[in-house]
Amino acid sequence: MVKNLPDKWIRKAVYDAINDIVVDNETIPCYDSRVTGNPQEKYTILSTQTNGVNKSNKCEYQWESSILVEVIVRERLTSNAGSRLSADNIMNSVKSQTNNLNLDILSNLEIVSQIQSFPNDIVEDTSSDIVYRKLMRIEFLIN
Amino acid sequence: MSNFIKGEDLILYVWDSSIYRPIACLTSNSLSQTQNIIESQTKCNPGLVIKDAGTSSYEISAEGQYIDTTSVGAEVTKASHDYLKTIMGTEITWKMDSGLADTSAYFGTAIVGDLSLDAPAGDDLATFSCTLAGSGVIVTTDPEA
Repeated sequence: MVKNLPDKWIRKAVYDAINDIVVDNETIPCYDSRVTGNPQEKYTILSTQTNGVNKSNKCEYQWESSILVEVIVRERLTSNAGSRLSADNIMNSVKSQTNNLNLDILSNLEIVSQIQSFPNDIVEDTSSDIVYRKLMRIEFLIN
Repeated sequence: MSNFIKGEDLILYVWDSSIYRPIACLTSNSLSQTQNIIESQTKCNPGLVIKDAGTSSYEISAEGQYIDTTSVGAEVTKASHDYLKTIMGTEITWKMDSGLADTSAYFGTAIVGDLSLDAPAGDDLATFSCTLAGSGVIVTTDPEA
């Protein structure tokens, strides 16, 4: 039997691990799916999630789940000629904080293993800003 | 309509002197039976090959993910690599059950002849495989009952 959908528990675990982390003396907030109001210059987003049922063993079905975490750094073109250093440092901290996640005990779910991978960066130029978006996908095997 | 039996429903157990422990966590298990055939040609039946049943044997193989069955809070009623290691070389009673109410399970005695543990690096799980060399016949009544 498939257990509860792990999405909200995964988001909670990642959010608890990376919200308001301090990198280079700056506090980096974390948001779920999008930012409303006046966005911060530097923040993280909990983005796309996927789930599949793994029936490979006869003890119990497992979830193969993933979440995409985005690090977003908006720099003024006048003050940044193209350095991604700040985005790199934030991503490095996010990576470290999410190395070994655990789901809330109320979820009745347990992370068996997790793998971090880093898809291509995305850079967006506007007339006044340059936005660096670094991505990390965490894939979970969940009991 | 045909009532198919899913492979995941067929679970292999081993008797531990008090209960049948499911081998865990199984990813596959199989039962292979072999019937030897004796061929003979005689002058009484020229041009014909006469066949008789000879000896028969069977073998059970299983593969699974290695789980903790010994720590506090672990699934102590299951049998994983650590338990199979303790019974290797001894004759044990096994059961293969489909869980169907009106279909008898298979029972027999066998010896754990091969056992291997695979522990890869990284995030892959430790796995094991074993082979039970069947001894005697396969029956449909529980010899431990």
